[in-house]
Amino acid sequence: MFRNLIIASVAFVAISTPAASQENLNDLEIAHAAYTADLIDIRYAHIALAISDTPEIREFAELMIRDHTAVNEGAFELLAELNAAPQDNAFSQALLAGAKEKNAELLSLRGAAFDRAYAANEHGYHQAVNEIVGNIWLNDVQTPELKDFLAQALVTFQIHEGHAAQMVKATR
Amino acid sequence: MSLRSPLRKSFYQHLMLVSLAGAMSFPPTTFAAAADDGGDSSTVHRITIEKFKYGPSILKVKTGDTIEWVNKDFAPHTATALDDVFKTEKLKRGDVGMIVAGAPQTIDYTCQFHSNMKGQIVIESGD
Repeated sequence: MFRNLIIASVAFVAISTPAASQENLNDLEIAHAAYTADLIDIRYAHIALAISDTPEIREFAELMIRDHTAVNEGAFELLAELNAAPQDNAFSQALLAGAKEKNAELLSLRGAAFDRAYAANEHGYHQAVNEIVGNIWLNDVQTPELKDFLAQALVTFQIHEGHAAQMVKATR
Repeated sequence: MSLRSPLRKSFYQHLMLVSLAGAMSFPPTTFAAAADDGGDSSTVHRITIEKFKYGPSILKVKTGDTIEWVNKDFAPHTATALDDVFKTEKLKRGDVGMIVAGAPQTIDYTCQFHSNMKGQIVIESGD
């Protein structure tokens, strides 16, 4: 599992840094990290809309904003129902640090180079997140409602991963 | 099929695209009553959108029947006919989109946002 995770995380190095493991998080930390991962991808999408003129890239970016915003709204509703607040943690911070680097890289690119980088990052990012959600967090989480939420969110992210894979091929 | 064809015109006349986007899903106990506004014998069919699939993916109905889509996914979806004969509004989680079936025909539809989602409505004569 770890080998797969590391391979999947190539495009998003911060996701597997030992100092900020995605393992051994409590439920509220997992909720925070999942929410943070969503926000990061929404940010990538806004960068794509700001830079790319390619219809397929823009359509995918709009999809990411729409779907990840909906997932996060679902997370907020769930936390409100549970009367719980997400807990910031080292892994969430590592996610943000990695995203900051990726944002800078994407913002420096234009044209086809941007499209290729965005597509590759989306594919790698969703692969990595799906590995974590599916193989670690769904096993670790204790709250049944949060487990159900993550399982539903994973379906969405897996669809995105497939879509991103097609986008990678299209931008080669 | 031309937009000006009698069949299309008839379908549009009968197709009430009543999107309830923004409304909450109907509780099961009120489901049947929610679409029975004329006291007729038409049937209400519910299609559940879950895990990026329409269930059932193929639905046979009769002219005058009501078809509802309820979205149980976090991601917003639509039910959008490939030939544009109907289109629900964006359905957020819990939203219900509704149409009333018109003239007999077979309509393939998809989600405007997720084109891998496929569904089909087969409308048969209500006679």
